[in-house]
Amino acid sequence: MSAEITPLFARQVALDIQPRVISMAEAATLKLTFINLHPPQSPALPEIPGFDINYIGQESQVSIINGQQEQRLTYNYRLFPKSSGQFRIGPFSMSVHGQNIDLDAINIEVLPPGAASDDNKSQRVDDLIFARVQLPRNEVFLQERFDIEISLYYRGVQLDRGVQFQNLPSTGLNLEDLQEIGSTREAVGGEIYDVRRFRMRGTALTAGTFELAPMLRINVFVRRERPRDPFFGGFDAFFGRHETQTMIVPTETMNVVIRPLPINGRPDTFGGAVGKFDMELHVQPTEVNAGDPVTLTLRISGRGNFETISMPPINLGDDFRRYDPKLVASGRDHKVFEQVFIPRIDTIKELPPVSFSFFDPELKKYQTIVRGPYPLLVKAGSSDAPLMVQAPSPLPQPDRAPLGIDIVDLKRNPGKWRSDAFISNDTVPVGLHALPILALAALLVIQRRRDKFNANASLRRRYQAPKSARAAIRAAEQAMGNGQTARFYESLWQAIADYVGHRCNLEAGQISPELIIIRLQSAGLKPEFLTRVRDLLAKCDEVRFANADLPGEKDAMRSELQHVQEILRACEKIAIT
Amino acid sequence: MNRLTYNSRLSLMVALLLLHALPILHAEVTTFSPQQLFEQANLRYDQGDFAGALKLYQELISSGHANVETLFNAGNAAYRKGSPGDAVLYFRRAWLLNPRDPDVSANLELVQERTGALKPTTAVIDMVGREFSRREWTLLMKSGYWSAFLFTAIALISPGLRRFAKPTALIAGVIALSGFAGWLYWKHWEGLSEVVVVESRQTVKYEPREKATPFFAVPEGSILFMEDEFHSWVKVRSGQNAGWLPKNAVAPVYPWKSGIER
Repeated sequence: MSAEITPLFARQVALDIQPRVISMAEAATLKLTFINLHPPQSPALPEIPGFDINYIGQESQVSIINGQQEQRLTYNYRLFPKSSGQFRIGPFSMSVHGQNIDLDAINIEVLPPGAASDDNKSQRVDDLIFARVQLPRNEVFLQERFDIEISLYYRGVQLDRGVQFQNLPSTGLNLEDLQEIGSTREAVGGEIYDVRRFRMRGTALTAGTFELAPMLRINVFVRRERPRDPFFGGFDAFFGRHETQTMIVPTETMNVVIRPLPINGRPDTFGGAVGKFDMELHVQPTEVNAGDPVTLTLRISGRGNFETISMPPINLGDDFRRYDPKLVASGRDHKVFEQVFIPRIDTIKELPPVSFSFFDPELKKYQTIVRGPYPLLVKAGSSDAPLMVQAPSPLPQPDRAPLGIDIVDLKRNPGKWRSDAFISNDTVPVGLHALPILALAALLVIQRRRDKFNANASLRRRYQAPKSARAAIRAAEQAMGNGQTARFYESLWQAIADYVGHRCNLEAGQISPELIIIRLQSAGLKPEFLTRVRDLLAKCDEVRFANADLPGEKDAMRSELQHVQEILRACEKIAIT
Repeated sequence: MNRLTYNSRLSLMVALLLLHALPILHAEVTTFSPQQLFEQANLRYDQGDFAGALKLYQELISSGHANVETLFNAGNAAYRKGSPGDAVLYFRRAWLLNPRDPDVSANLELVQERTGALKPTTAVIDMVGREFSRREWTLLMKSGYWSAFLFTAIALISPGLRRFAKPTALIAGVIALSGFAGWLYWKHWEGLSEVVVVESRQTVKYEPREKATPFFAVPEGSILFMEDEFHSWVKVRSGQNAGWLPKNAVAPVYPWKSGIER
């Protein structure tokens, strides 16, 4: 076949057939895609043994990737099998403007009519849906990165797109980057299965044997089994005749053996890299003056545990001044380092070789890549440069890079100097923080008591009784000291009258000596105290109503005062109402 | 007479020597104020004597004057001196004191980027918790706590002010609780024992011995979490990976927490 088209790039035609396993009753689709080519007419396929070919149309697609436009023109053909068996379609070659393009052959399997049965009812669910796990090897090495492929096989059922993985190992292996890598068809046991493939990237973290038995949680569309509604059953044809049912699909348990890296043969330059790597090195410039920088760019690419890889050490001796290597780029499959060297002397002829060692898990041995030595032409420094006379600057200028690519400059104002500037010292003792709680508790008690007193006048007066009696006794003591007899007895009367008045919740006008005696008697005051009270009240009346300071004996007054105090103390112990 | 003369001369010489030595002795015991030391360190930095400047900043820090500015400047001096690991350590300590300082964050980020250092992962709770330093959270907690009690007391004592004092006490209580949550976050974070890799070309090993299998490389300036110590080794963690590093290759962000002082 040929097409009158202008070739733009090599490999601009692609051939694909899907599915590659079909039954006699099915058809496969052959796609012939022209990338950045515009054939003026549909290409005609040659006769393919075992298949009838029907052209079903073309589709075109334009995409812009990284600013470059790509046009795809695809011609679709339907292949109908005429007989069962294994078929090899191609290889083909086509000529486009005199340029020969080869298309690789594709194998297709057509199963005989009896093999793929549609009668799923007698089959077990395990036959309709199952999953398999594939590892590159059953034995992997510590720190090796490997792909775990999980394939979900199903036939005769429809699956939801969502698939969740369960029962993944939590120790020994680090699994990440789960992704679906495509779907295909496969013949298993004479049946055609749709296959969805998933890939996880695993890293062996600990030596030992680990079980890998992931489970897939999937949702299967199943026909709803319910009696048909005689009135509204017709809507079932449109709504809700299917529902999803969650299924857990187990896989066979695989034992993954993680072996430690061998001690024997480990090179000194080995830094933990496990995988398959390559190293490229660039030295720029290769002609310099002594004292000028030389940049060495080192790119390590391949597949493996890139996180362990650092810049390999270079044995430069004292002839070079070196700066720390910088990681300038990194990705899933590469790391790029830059290191700057400054040759100190002009007798240097080369940059020494650079070695990078890694463990190759496929070859099961350590590998060392050596690049270099690199010729380096170092000229004498700028001693022949003309001397310049200039005024000395007051201070040597610090080596500063321009703003934006350098660190932010010093802070000039230190603020407040504190000797406890760091963060873990608590200046306030912990016990002090309990103070508000205690204060609040005390406040609450006071508040409650105040509320209680406010609500109950007799209680308040009960608490006021001793206070007022004490105040009157103090006045009596003062009067006794001053020799004021009338005032003394007036105060004693006041002490007893106030006390009893408060205790009995009586108004001041209601108090009389008789009432006091009655109340104290009914409260059960001892007779000896009652007698004293009676005598004392009589004496008080006598002095009060005489209304004059009678000459009194201090001893007698002191005795009276003592009696009053004893009476009051005795009254405190009884309930007066 | 001669003997006496000899003794007198000897005494005179000793006295003269002491007299001459006095200013020197005096100079040695002269102590600079933190401000003077700070300015001297800045001057040395400006003159390009980064090692000298770093020494003075360290002197300030070890004497208890570890404020944000000193730590930040120490980080700058360490970076200029060619010790990015130390620079990250000082920037990190400065960041702990003031997580919102943009200069500190910028320098920390830049130095780590230049060395390709590993950084600890940041969750949402970290972003919230690190909005304030531990000191600030503590201050918030204490002020909220005391204010809540004060306004509660006012509400109890003075019924007239209750209308104003009650909601204020409630707000203060919420502030106190927020501060307590932040304080708890930092308390937990402190327990994680953060360390910085201060030596170049370090590889974490599976076991605490020189000949053990290398696990993963940690560039200088990487921030890891210390999990364990064994003789001259420390067990460190970065994300999911944990292994052993020589003790002298790391320095704790909290200098008082461990014997591996820097």
